Amino acid sequence: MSIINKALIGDLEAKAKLFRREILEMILKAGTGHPGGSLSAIDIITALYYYKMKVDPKNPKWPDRDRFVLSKGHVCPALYAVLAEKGFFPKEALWTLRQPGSILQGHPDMRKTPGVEMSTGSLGQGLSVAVGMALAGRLDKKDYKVFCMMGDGEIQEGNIWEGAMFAAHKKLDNLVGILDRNRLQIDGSTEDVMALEPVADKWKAFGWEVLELKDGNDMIQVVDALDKATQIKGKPIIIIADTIKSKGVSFMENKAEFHGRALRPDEMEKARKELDIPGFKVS
Amino acid sequence: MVKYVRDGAWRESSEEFFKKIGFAGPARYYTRQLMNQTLLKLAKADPRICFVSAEGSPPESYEAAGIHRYRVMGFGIAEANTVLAASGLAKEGLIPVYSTMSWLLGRSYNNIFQSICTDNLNVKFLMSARGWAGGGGSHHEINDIAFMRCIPQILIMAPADTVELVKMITAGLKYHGATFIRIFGQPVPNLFEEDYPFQMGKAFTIRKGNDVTIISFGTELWRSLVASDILAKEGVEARVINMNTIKPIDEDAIIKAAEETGAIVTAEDHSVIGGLGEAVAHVLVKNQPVPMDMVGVRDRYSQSTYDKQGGWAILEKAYNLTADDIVAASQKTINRKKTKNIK
Ligand SMILES: Cc1ncc(C[n+]2csc(CCOP(=O)(O)OP(=O)(O)O)c2C)c(N)n1
Repeated sequence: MSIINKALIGDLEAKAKLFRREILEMILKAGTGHPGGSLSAIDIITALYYYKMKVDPKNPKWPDRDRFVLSKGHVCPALYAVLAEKGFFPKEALWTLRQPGSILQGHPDMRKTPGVEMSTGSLGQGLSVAVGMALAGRLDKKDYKVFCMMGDGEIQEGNIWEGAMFAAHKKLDNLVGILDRNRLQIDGSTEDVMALEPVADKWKAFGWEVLELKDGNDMIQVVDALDKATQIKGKPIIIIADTIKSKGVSFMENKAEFHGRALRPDEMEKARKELDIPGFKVS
Repeated sequence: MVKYVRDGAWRESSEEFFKKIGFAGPARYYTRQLMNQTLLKLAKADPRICFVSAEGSPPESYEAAGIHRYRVMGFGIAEANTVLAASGLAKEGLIPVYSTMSWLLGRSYNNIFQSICTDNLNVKFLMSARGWAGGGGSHHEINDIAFMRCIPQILIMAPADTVELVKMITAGLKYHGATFIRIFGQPVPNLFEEDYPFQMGKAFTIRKGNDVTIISFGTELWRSLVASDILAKEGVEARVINMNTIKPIDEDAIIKAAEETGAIVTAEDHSVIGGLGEAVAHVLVKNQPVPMDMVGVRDRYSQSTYDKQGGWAILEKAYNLTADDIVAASQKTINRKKTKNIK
């Protein structure tokens, strides 16, 4: 996007705001879930589905679609909100999150949810799966892209680095990793738990093209980074997106506490005021 | 010794039941608290005990309680590295305790198999099987006993209530060798009094009876007791055995039960493949084959539910883990015994 399309950006931002509200409402209804990492990731997931990726909600298994693997599967409410709005399944399903029999499980389940590309939930596995899907694309001579979103805590898993080494070795330039660098995991700061820095240097050393996205919650920058990422040839690409955990609700932002719990009713009231959407209804 | 009162109260919905016995709030926090208290006490007395964790670190209270911070080690979200470092610690004579969600055991299975258990190193796995909750199939551990049980020499135990939990952790940490204690993640009623004589490797007969034997452990034990009450109303006296040690299993208790009751039912919150049921069947087939049935999850993945009593109840029903399922299996097995004219 060379000339910034204001209308497009405005539209994406409005969608992301709606999704933020839906994420919190969904988790509230379910009683459990992971708001923090959902809110940090939602701007990027919105831009992927509404700007970058080729997908067809009427035909979720369309062979030429771009693939999105949510390796940090616990933030699936973010993915579900986007998929519902895209029309992969009816919106009412959102309010059944985590209920017995629901198509929306507590972690992504590709056999239950149309549009979910891969079942995830055990951290550290998605990148290698995405590597396999990128390899398949190459073998099948298809030009789809595979996007894989990882949590920053998640990349403490050794498995991630096996996938990283392989992807560079095979020059998988149809693979785009996205690191949601919100700097928090369950136990607190990633740098206190298990320091990741200098994280960009690590990916570079593994042979990846690193794109540092200064503000992964700023739609203009997100769109720009996705555009750049899909033009690079000859090696896998990782977008290291600096984000804010729980972005969009002031009292939740940057607090590890909101990693994995539903809001209490009084907190939800406050959040609703910040994410006010005229006419919003939980059906 | 045993708190269990036969007054039919067990038949009530679990929600009412838990209210009645005064079990307030999410029990897993209570369980974790109790577990930590026990561990702290043991660690104070034995400086070899140390704590390793992937994410979900041991609480700061450890330090506050006088455990040197070097004995509490967090490894980040890296289960393989955690268990392998535990191996090294144990090899040098320390007693590392690794405590997390049971489903994560499988994440580092070969590391455990190869680098801890080959040499039966003294690592303690205190894993909570969260059971049926919001997380869904990826987060419900219903295969852990299966894949751990086939590891040579490993000790596997599972407490059925908090009294047993404390006794089991205490005994398990004194024992030398790789140990897996599978801790319930859902509330369970307290079945035992403080004087309950827990013994590692020894099954405990919690209820006498000679028509059928229900062998169980962990979360399913109290449901087995509910089942035995229902059966009693129909004139069937079921023996109920707490098989708190799954490996090495108490063969004598199984053989004796088969001889004296001629019908066996196992009940477990685990897959029927590779769990307690198959362990018991193994003993029966070799020694005293009698009609038998297994209650457990039948070769299926699990799914999400509300993270509270009502939600669990729905899945327990869907996955055939209720007292009624145990009753039905018992009746079926007794009928087979009668028609086969065994005993
Ligand atoms: C293999 C594995 N270990 C542990 C967990 C439990 N867990 C769920 S979320 C989480 C923290 C993830 O942190 P991060 O990757 O930074 O995600 P975010 O902050 O974006 O939510 C952990 C440890 C898991 N799901 N899988």
